[in-house]
Amino acid sequence: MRSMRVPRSPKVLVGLCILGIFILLTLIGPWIAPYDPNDTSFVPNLRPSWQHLFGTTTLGQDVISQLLVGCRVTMVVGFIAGTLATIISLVVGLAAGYIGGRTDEGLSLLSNVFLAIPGLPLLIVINSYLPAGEQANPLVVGLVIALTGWAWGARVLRAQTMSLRDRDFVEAARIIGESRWRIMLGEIGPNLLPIIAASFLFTILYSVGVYTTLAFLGLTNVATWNWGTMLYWAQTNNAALANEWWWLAPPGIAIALVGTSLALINFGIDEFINPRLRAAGLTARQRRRVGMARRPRLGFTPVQRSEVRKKGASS
Amino acid sequence: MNEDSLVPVLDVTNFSVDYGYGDDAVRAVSDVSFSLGRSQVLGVAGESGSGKSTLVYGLTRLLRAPGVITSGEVTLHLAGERNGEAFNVLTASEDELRQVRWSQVSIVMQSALNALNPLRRVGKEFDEVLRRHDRTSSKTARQERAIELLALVGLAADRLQRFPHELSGGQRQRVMIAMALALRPELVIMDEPTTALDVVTQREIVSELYELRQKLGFAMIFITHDLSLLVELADEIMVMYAGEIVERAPAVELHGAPRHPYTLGLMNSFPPLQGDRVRMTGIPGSPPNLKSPPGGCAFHPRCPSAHDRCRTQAPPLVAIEDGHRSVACWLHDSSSTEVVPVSLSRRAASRIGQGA
Repeated sequence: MRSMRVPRSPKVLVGLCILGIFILLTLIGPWIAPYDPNDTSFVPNLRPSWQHLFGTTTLGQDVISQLLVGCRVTMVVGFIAGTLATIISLVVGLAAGYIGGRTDEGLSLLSNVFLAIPGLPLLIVINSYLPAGEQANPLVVGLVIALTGWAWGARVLRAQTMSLRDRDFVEAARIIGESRWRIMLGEIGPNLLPIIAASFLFTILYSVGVYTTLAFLGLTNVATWNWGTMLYWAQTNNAALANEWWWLAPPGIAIALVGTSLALINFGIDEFINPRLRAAGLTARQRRRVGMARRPRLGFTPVQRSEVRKKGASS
Repeated sequence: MNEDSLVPVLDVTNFSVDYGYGDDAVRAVSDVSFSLGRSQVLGVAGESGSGKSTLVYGLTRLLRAPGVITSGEVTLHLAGERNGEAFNVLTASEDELRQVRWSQVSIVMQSALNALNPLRRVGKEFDEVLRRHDRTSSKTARQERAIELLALVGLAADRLQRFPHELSGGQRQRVMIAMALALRPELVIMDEPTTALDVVTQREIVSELYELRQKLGFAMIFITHDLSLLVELADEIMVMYAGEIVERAPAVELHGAPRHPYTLGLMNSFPPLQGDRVRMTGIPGSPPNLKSPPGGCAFHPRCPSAHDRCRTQAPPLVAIEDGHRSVACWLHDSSSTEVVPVSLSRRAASRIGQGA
C-alpha cells in the first residue's frame, strides 16, 4: 500500500532532472548529433562557435558530436555494471548475512578478496584478455566492471541483513514457517531498499568512472566513442598543453554532472523509502512556510506558537 | 495531604501539541491546563490514543518529530541547589534543558528496560550518571549510592555486577526506576512503567513506588490505562479523552463517584475483585479520529447520556463541588435541565468508602 509521491526536496528534483537529461541523450544522442564524430573534414582546433557548439579537435572532428554519441556507451556501461554489481552484492550479502555459517564464511572470504584486490589493475588484466571485438561490447565491459565493484555493497548488505535477522518480525516469520526465500526477499529485502538503492546509485557512478578511466588509458577500443576515449584522444594530442579547453572540458563536466545527479538523488532515497522519515521529513522550504526556525531534533521538541504560525503562513 | 502539596512543582497552562505541520497537522493534545503540587502523585488515565503519552512527552520536550508544541506554558519549580527557580520549559535552550533533566525531572518510559546497554554491567550505568553529576565523588561513594538505589527498588547489591540480559524484565524495569531516582529529582514521570510486566510484578512495583514516594517525597505523574491501579497510587486522577482532560478529581472520589460518562465507562471496563459477578459493559465504539473530530463534545458519539447540546458545543472543564474536582460535561452544567443519571450524580458519592 505504499503510495508513491513526487519527491518535494529540491535536491532530489535537480538530481532527477540532470539524470533525466542524460538518459534522454543516451536514447537520442546519436540521432541529434550534428555531424559524424569520426568525420575529420572540419578546420582543426576551432573554438566553440555556432557551427561547432563545442569547437573542433586537433584532428578536425566535431566535439559535441563525439560527446553526444559517446554518451550512449558511457551511460549504458554504467547502468549495466551498476545493475549487475547490485544484483551480485544483493545475492551475496543476503545469503551471507541470513544463512550464516559456512556460507557466510565462504562468501565473506570471497568479498574480502575482491575488496583487497585493487580494482583497476584487475580490470586492466581482465580487459587485456578480452578479444579485441569484445572490448567494445558494453555488456561485456559492464560485466567485467561489475565483477570488480560488487564487494563493498555485499559487505554493507550482509551487515544490515545480520542486524535484521534477529529482529522480532523476522523471527516471527521463521517460527510460522515461512520459507527462507520468502523471508529473505519478502521480510528482509524491503528493509534493505535504502541501502540497495544507495549502493546501486554509487555503483553506477563507480562504473562510469572506471569505464572512463579504462578508456582514457586506452584499454578499451579507442575507435569507439565514449567520454573516456574523448579524453584519451585529447590527452594524446596534448589538448591541455595547447590550451584546448573545449576539447577536455565537455566530457569531464558531463561525467561530473552524472555523478552529481546520482549523489543528489541519493539524498532523497531514505526519505522516499522509509515511512517514518517520510512523515517526519520536512524540507527547509516547508519548515520556513510553517515558520519553524530549526529542524526538529530528538529531545528538543519544537515550540510553534499559533500566532507565529499564522504570521508564517500569511507572509 | 500537607502544606507541601500546595507548593507547585509543575504548572501547565493551555498546553497543546500537534502532530504534523501546516495543513496536515493533527491536534493530539489540546488546551490542557493543570498544576501538580510537591510530592503529589497525579495519575493520567485514558484509552490508547487519548493523548496521555503525548502530553508528558510534550511537557518534557521529548516528543519526536513530527510532534510540535503549539501553545501553552510549562513552568517547572526547581528544587535542590536551584530552589525556588521557575524554569520555563518551552523557552529553555537545549543546554538548560539538559541541566534540568534527570536532576530535576526524570522519566521512565514504557519500554525503558530496553534502554540498558547490553554490553555494560548495570553498575557501570549507575556509576556514570553519578560521576557526571558530581565529579568529586569517590568510586566507593558512588558504589554505595548505587547499592542504596537498588535497595530502594528491592534489588540485591550483587545485581550491579550483572549484564542486562541476566536480569528479568521486571528487574530491568526496576533498575530503570532506580536510575530515574538516582539524582533525587523533584518530579518523576512514569509512562506506563508496568505495562510490559505481569500483574504480580506490576503490583510489586506499584507498591514500591508508593513507598518510595512516601520516603523520598518526589512528585509523580503516572500514566496508565488501568484506573484501578491509579486509585491505589495516585492522589489525584486526570482522565483524558481525544487529547483533552475530561475529568480531574481526587483518586478516591473519582473511583467512588465519577462524574463524566467516559470515566464511568472506563471503570466499568475493569472487573472488581470483590462483590457479585457482573457483566462488563465497557464503552461502545472506538476513540475518535483526531483528523476529523466530532463536533461538540468529542465523546458524544459514544456517550449514553448525550443530548442535543453535546452535539454542537464542546463542554469546558469546569470546577464542580466546591472546586475540588472538575469535569468537562454538560450534564453538570448549572444551566442544564438534563436528568443526571444516578451513577454520575452527587448521590452516588455514598459509594465512596466501599469503592476504595
